[in-house]
Parts: sequence; C-alpha cells; structure tokens
Amino acid sequence: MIKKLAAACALGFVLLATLATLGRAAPQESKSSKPAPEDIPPIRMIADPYPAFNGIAVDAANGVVAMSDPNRKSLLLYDRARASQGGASRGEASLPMRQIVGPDTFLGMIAGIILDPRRQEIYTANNDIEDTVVVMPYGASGNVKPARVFSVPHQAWGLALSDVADQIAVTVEVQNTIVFYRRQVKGVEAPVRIIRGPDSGLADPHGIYWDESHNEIGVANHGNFRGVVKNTGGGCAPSFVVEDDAEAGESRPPSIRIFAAGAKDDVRPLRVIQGARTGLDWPMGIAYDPQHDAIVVANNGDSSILIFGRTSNGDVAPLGVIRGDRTGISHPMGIAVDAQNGEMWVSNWGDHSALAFASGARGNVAPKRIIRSAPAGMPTPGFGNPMALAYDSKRDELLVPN
Amino acid sequence: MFARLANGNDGPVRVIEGQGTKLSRTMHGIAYDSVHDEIIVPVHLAGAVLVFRAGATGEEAPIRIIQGPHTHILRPETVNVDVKNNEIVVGEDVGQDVMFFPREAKGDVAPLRMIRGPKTGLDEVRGVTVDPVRNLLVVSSRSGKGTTGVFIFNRTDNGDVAPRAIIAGPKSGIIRIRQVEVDPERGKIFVAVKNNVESYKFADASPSPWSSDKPGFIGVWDINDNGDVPPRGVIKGPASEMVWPAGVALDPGDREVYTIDSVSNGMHSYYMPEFFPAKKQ
Repeated sequence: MIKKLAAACALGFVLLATLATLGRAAPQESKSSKPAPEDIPPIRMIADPYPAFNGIAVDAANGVVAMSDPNRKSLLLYDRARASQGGASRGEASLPMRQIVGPDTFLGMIAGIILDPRRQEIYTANNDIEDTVVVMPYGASGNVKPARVFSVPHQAWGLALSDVADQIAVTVEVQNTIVFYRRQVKGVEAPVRIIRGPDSGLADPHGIYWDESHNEIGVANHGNFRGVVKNTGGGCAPSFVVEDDAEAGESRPPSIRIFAAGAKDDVRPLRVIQGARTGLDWPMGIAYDPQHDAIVVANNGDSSILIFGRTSNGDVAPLGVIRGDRTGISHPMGIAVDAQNGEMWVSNWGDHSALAFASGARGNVAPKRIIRSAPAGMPTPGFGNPMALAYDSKRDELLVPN
Repeated sequence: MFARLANGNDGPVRVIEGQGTKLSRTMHGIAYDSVHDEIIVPVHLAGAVLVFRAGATGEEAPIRIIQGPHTHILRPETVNVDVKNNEIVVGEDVGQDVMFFPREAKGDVAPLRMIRGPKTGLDEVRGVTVDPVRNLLVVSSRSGKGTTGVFIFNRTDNGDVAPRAIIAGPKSGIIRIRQVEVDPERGKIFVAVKNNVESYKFADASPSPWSSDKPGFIGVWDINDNGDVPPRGVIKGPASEMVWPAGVALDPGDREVYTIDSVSNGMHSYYMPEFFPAKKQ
C-alpha cells in the first residue's frame, strides 16, 4: 500500500508537471460534454495500510486470541501465549498465525467477534453493507469462503454465544434490539426471539456478554435513541404526529443493562448501571470476568477499562479502573476475559495494538503482553466506513465524520 | 480533522469524540460554515443535528442541538448550511425528505420548510446542498424502486412539490449515490457516485467490497443539466484509487477535489484545475 501511495503521489506530480508544461486550457463552462481525462491519481491519499483492531476474543483452551479488522477487512489469529515473544515489546509488528482476508471471505465492515472453542469456529458481525455474520473455521487462512454466513439486521455490532441455550445473541444498533438465533443458523432464518421495546431501555446497543453461570446477559448501551418508526402499512414511515413522544430522537446517558438470559420482547432489565458516577463514556466491548465476579467494559470515550461488580446497580462508581499512560489503552473497542489464565484482553482502535492485563489489574499499570498490527508509533487515521467530508477553509483542514 | 496537506497514514490533528459530544456512529454528513466558523453534523441514531464550534476538540459539547418531536427529524442522514440565507438543510433517508431550519435553531423547533411527498420523487436522501446564486436546492437520492439521481428544486420549495430537474439514467452512470456539493461560482454540481453493492438480500450476489464490477466515481454536472446526461467531468479508474467514493468536498481556491472511500477507508485529494477554471470577466 505504501508503494501504491508513493506511486500514486509520484504519478500525481507527473500529471501536474505535464499539465503545467502543456498549459492545457480549461474547458469552457457548460460548453462541452467531453469528459475530462478520467483516471487521475490522487496527489495525496490518507489511508491506513495496517489492520486496525475492533473486536477481540480469546480461547484459552486452544491458545488463540483473535481480532476483527474492519480497516483491511480481515480476521487475525495470534498465538495467545507467544504474543509476549517476538518484537512487539520492542515496538515491532507481531506476526499472526493466520490472517483471513480477501473477496471470498465476505468480510467487510466487521465489528464484534467471538470464538467457539468447542467447535473451533470464529464468528464476526458485518456491521454495515453486508449485514451478515460470517462463521469461519479456526484453520481458515487467506482468501477462503466462510463455513457459514447468516443474515442479520443492518448495524449488527456485538455477539455472544451460549452452549447451554445453543443460541447466538446479536446486538443491533439502529433497531435498539438484541436478536437471538439458533447457534447453527445459516442463510436467512427468523430469530428465535428478540429483546426490544421501551421497557428494555435498549438504545444503540453495542457489546454483549452471556454469563451462563448466572443465566444473565449484559449489554453496553450507548443511549442514542430514535423512537420506533411506525409501520403505516406500506412499510415504515414517519407518522407526522408531533404529539407522539416516541417519535422524538433522544440522546440518553450510556448504560450497562443486565437481562435474564431467557428474556424476550419488551422486558425490563434486571439491573441497570447508569449515571454520572459510572464514568461510562462510549462503552463498546463488554465481558464477564467469572474469577472476580465482575463486568469489564472497554470505555472508548476516555480510553479506560471500567470494572463493575456483577450485581452493581444504579448510579455506582466502578470497583476499579485501568487508565493512564502506562497502560497503553487507546480508544478501546473490544474486551475479552481469559478466566483460565487470569487475563483480560483489550483491543485498541487508537494505535494498532491489543493488550493483555492481569484480570485483577487496576490503575495505571502496564500490560503483561502486547500484540501489534503495525510498528509502534505508526499513526492511524481511524477511518471506519466513512461516508462524508467537508473542507474547513479557515483552518485548511478536512473534516470527516466517522 | 486532518490537515489538508496530510498524506500517507497520517493521523488527525484534532478529534471531537466521546459521550459528551452526543456524536455516534452512522454520521453520514458534515458541513462547515465558513462565515460563522461552525461544524454541523447529523446524528442518525439519535434523530438530532449537532452544531459545534469549528475549533472544538476532545469531548466538547455541541453549542446547539436540534432534536425533538416538533423538529419532524426522523433519521437525519446528511446536512449542509446555506450561509447566504442563514439556514441549515437536513436530508433524511428513512424520512425521504429535506428540511430547512434557521441556522441558529436550537432545541425542539419546527422546520421552516419541508420537501416531502410522492411528487418530490425523493426516497433515501443521501446528500443536500444549496446554490445560493441561482436559488436552487440540489439533492442526491437513492431509490430501490424509484429514481436514483440528482434532484434539483427551487430553494424555497415547500411541501409535496416536483423537482424542476432530475439527473439520472444509464448515461449519467449513477447507480448508487451519496454526498453532493455545488460550486456556485461556476454553476457545477459535484457528486459522489458510489455505485456500491448493497443487496440486503442474502440470496443476491455477494456484495463483496473488494471486487466491484462497477466502481464509483466523482461526477461533475452543470447546474442546468436535466435528464439522462453524462457527467461533464469525471474522476474514476484504478489510478484514482477509488472503489466506492462516498463523500465529496471542494476547495476551489486550491483547485482541489476531495473524496472519502468506504472500501479503502481512505481520503483522496485530486488537483483538478480543469474543474475550477477562472471565472470569465
């Protein structure tokens, strides 16, 4: 990619030089339908040639840690234990065991990822465009077709799997919904149940965990809410009824919402962690730590990990926080707990890295191990399926909503 | 926010982020108000339009929010600002409409005007912009069952009104469409013709973002064009590095066109002096 960028820039300068030499006359306004020469290289191009980690999952039994990469549209599998070896601690990029990437993979704007240790399968959610969950075998590598693909609603983000229920749970941002499918789902299948509605309080849900030991599901809720659009018979359409409060957009506080694992329809959560004391700030990935009976949260907005008690409820401060310059945490997206080895893994959107901490870590502590998808210090534009831009003429800057 | 001259995998110079900003994902529009030095962003998931100081950074709250039942905002997809007439223009995909608010609108306020209804031909509105010189509204709209193209209305149109012109059809090359901008000085419309595949049906062909057989392009039309007309200028092809360009922005002073690509996750800058000829005296 760097070579391509360099070549593109070089070509751009050649083009400029040629145009200047020839003194090409500009076409007159509205007088010619002849297209300009089309295939023009950019004079500048900002793009990240390295994988950028979004979701993360760990399988202690098989010694695997895996990440989703929506930037290069790939899945990366690393050796969990050997992640401490090699050059990552010296700032070098880590070598994955395998990378699944290419047009046959169905991988696109992927977000959440989970591993099924028993069947050695990887699940990842295509959040946008494809609107599918892709299932790959552990052994997949390169440009390979998935073992299974199943359709999910637009904007699926988080995934959780239960062997007990033999179901997979999928959070859907725009629908304010958790959708449950049978585990073996393939193609287009109706969900076996959903959690959705005003009593659920779901609003732009992201990460999700399934705690089989307590028969609970936890969801990280961003709080962005737009009332359920009315179905007027011809499809969903605005009601134009101003007095219907449910039609109004809202920016609610973020929350962690705990539901009974078997919940369905418009059900109230068992507990809600929400309020100023919680410190929640764009909570993304979420996981249950059975060793400490705790809920761990990748708090993207302030680059921290928040630890709450499993039974925490209301406007409560976290039991612990991992935050600070020694931690290496930078805009975390994913979090996964390895109870067998007493570790938690965090994927950074901000700097091409994933970090392993002792699961009891608190404060400004250094990680035990680091996996890097790029050399340390490599900047990241941070783009994820960008759709618009604007030019700020005062600051000579380009503005991109991400 | 990136420096205009940033290149390679440079990082941003500033980021507005965090819960306190009320931003979310699915922000598919942005506009810069050069007169009042403000940034306007639609928040699709919260039915809101946010206005920030243009110099904002970090977890800085918006200075104004348009949100609530009286706004009629359903799912704001795109925005622009008309500084001459002091209005914010909001386009919606699910709402299939365009709304005009006072630029300084704040809170739960009704729109000044709303273009919505079957006569408009609008479906999923992806881009809006105003030509204040000719008093025109330019809208990009994508439709699975109707017309996908560039719809041109009178700026002061209101209600269920037909557009005065539509640029669409096979010769236009428009299959899927996103952001639009105008260069009012030269009377040109710049369009991000994404042409991406979004099947939303599992039985359809794989919508692989890797190997599109109909790559997108930046197309330039005259503001007076109408019907199935080819673009008067195009940036397209392998050397352009474009696959699915979703956004377009202009810097006429430096004679540059910018786009953002949703496949490469890249931002491209093109020097296009032929698109910005000196205005005839």
